[in-house]
Amino acid sequence: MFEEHSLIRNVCIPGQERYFMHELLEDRPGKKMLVLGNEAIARGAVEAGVSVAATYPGTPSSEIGNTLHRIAKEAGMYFEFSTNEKVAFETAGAAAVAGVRAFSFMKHVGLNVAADAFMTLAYTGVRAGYVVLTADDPSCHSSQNEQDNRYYAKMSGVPMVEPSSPEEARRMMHYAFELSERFEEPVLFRTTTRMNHVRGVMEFGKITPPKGRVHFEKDPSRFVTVPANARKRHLALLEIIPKMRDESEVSPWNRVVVPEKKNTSGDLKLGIITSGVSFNYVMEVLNNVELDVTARVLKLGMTAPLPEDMISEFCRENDLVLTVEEGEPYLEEAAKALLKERGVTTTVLGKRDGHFPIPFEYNPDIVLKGIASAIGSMGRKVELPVPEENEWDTSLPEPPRPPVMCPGCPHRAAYFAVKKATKGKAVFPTDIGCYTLGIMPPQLIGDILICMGSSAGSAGGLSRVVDEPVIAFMGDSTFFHTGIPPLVNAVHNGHNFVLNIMDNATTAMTGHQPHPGLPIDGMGDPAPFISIEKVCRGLGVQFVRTVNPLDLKETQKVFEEAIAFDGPAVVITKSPCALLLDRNLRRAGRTRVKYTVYQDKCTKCDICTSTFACPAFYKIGDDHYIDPELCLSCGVCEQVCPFGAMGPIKQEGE
Amino acid sequence: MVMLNRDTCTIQIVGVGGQGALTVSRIIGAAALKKNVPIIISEIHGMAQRGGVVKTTIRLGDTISPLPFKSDITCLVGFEPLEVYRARDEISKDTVVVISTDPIRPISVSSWGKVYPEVDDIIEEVKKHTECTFSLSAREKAQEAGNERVTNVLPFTCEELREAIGESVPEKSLEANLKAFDLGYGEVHDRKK
Repeated sequence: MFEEHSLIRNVCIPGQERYFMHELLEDRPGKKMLVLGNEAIARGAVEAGVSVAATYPGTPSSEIGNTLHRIAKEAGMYFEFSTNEKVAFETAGAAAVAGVRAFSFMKHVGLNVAADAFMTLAYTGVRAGYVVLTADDPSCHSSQNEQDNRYYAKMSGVPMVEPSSPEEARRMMHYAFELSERFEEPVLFRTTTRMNHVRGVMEFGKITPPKGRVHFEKDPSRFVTVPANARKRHLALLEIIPKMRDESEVSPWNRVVVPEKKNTSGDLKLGIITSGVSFNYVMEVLNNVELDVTARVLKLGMTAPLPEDMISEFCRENDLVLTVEEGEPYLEEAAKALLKERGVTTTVLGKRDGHFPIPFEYNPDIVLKGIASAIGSMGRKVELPVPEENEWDTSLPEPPRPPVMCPGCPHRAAYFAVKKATKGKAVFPTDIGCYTLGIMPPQLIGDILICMGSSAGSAGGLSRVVDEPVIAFMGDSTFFHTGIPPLVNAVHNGHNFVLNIMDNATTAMTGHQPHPGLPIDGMGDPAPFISIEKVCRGLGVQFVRTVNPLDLKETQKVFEEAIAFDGPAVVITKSPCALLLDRNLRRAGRTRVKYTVYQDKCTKCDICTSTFACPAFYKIGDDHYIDPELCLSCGVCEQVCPFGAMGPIKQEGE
Repeated sequence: MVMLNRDTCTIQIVGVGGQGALTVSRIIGAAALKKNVPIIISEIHGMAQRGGVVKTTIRLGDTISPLPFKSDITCLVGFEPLEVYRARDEISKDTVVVISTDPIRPISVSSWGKVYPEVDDIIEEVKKHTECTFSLSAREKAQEAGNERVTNVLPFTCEELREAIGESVPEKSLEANLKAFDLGYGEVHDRKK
């Protein structure tokens, strides 16, 4: 039954193996290469001689891990995809405590998972460089929130750097490691989507080989944070912070930049304080739109601790200062408080005055609008370029194009069976992964989603208060990430719900990274794999069944039994990700027969499109078709159609 | 450095996940790097795969901003006609628009009963708003080239792009990619005359 699962042995991340594998490791300082921000960061880690790197994949940071997965072995680095961000943080953090350079990286919400360890490692500090990267996602391109992780630096007391481009990111990795070693503290490396996913020209630096094994020098008074030690370590941290601030004042990454083409001789002296990607948009505006000001930009690359003298001096020198930053008013509030404290009277404007928005990512248009609004509020009229008349006929239909589960996706089949088994009458806590797309019609499965691993926890609470059956969904990688503790909780407390673990043998949404359930590790080596089924049985779940979701009848039957079972029940729907399966089959030179609609049998009842809705289906008039370019031969449509009108394309002579 | 009469050239590619917008930006990137033309490319990964809308912005020339002013798109390349219509705010009078005329019907059309606009209406609308529009069936060109998957190699530069393609696509589909490129290039070149 699971013959196809065995094809997933060679898990290997799709993409650019051929181009980047060796090239990114070349020790040719000065060589130029066009790279993704995330690849530049990976190169920076290699150049800095990182010995241990760890992550849990999460967009927009995923490609750092994909890149290290390909090159770590050759670079002499140890790299792992950890079970979650907290484990990744601890793995790398301990290596840095022992005395080798270490690097952990994660998406912004991943730092929430790691926050417990993060906050206290700031007390103990580290003995070799430790860089912790957070990839924030303004506009929630692929996230459940757009929290601003700069506050983690402020909350913990560790230094923070923010690059604006791939080349800066590479160089800043070196700087971050130096800072970390100078202050013996982890350094927060904060990026945003338009930094991670921007491709730019990077110049190679020199590669420092990673350190080998070290002797662990015991120092429990520093590294064992019992209260007596923790209190001392907090004092130690508070003593270092002013020294970090001194560095921030003279850091080469905190500097004044002036526009070259425009805004060089107006009578209003305009200062702009900015960092990260916002700097790029500020320069685009100042170099292209004449605002009749003399503009100077304070570009901050080290944003915690902030260079207080530099900021107050900069403000003093200008007539008006604006803070331009995506997210929360982090720079703005700091600058305003500082000027008040120091008696500097220059007006600072930002989000709190309504000139710049808090939500969503910026672009040059938004930044221009904000700057014009702020200058305008000071009684100066700003002539903005008038956009040309652009009246479009908006009456044409504009059907939305949401992301959907792929053709052949086993999740779609599982959802179909669940709907049959519940007749739609159930509450569906869902989780983070491709299967979240089940919220789209016609599946409409997904009633509550908060964060990774939350479906099983939510299901426990819901099962105590609602009458309907509760069926929770969780992917295989998510199960290992944070899915096990809520299942333990459900067994111990006797919660009554069904947990569907959707095992597609990969971490699909972030780009097919391996996880502990697969026979391969982060270095690309064979690894023991952990059986989800055995874990569930070991936790004491009495009802554990594994089923192939592409077999609709059997899957429906299993769900019906699971719902009838009293107590927590686990159904593992096991079938590989359709994209991965298709690729591996093609590599193996195997082709599978595509499916089609037998027009003579089709009654045009629309059951296929209204209940299953594979993206390979399409209609011309009332007639149904399957696009053979899109069909991945899963064969589920044959079971969906009650009239036998869908099936494999018949070969001649059949 | 050869540029238009502005400091930058901005190419906006719109299409559907899986069509290869990222591959195209890498091909242009390889050509730019070779010629020492400054380049920044902005991509959105993640949810954009799985059949959603994909937008890639390529900026050549003197700028550090990966995102342009909306009115600053030199060339909008639409791998899919509906997505060109959706991106209409970014089309100005001077924008060169290249449209592939093959619709990819979103799930909202194939299964939710929404209506897909007439491709000719879209092209007509686009032509009202810009002075330079090329539309072609990329799928036909690709079939002619012998590989339907090769539908979107950009038709607006020349020998360096062919070289860049050589560096950027797997060997086994190189010939089909180059042929598709030549066909597309020929198509636009002929119509320009």
